[in-house]
Amino acid sequence: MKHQRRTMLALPLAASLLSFSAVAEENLQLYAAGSLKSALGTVATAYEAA
Amino acid sequence: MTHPEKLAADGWGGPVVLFARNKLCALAQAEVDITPDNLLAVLLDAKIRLGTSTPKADPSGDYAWELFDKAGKIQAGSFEQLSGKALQLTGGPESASAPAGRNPYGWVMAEKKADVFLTYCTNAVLAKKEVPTLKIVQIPAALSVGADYGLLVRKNAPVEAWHLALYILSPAGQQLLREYGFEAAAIPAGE
Repeated sequence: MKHQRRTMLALPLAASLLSFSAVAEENLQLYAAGSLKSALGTVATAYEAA
Repeated sequence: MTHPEKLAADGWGGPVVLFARNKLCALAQAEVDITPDNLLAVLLDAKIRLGTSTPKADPSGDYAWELFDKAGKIQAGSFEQLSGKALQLTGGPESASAPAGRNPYGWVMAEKKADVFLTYCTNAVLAKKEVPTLKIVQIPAALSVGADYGLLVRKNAPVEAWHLALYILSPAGQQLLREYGFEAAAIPAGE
């Protein structure tokens, strides 16, 4: 069964959210903020593709 | 690491692991003869217009003032000279706005508002993408300032979350962070 995986970024308490979809068995949320948002978005996309 | 450590202390998850750092870099016009070795002398040169972000309004400005403080400990009077001459060009309520879609650091340098600009290395990478003639100069260790970034996985998170955390710490993940200008140290020597 395929579920949508959401990956978000942010650790600071006022966290921003970045989400994207992929095929996975789990739902994931990755939090980050500031200059990390786009960088970790790229890392998460690469992780999904790996 | 303050925020993830707070989350860990509150029982949200853990442990906290350092995965990247963001340091200050010097973004310089092509014609400025600046290297890590002569950086302080160049910044102190009265002919050099030094740009920074705005302290108290932007962390990158606060880091510039930390660098000035370190400079003052190396060479007496440097803090006063540097903080006195610094042009606070970005990040403040009075700062001029870059045109829509432009990187503010690339824009102020393209407009020749400064000869050298101190900002996060990640900002410097973005600015250089817009203005390829700019130089990015590393700050020498004695003057270096920056932030440590930590990650943690939430308690009871799915195993995939641990896989992603390890991917961020893997050479592939760390290399991507480096390409954004972060210092990411978990890459074996020789890769």
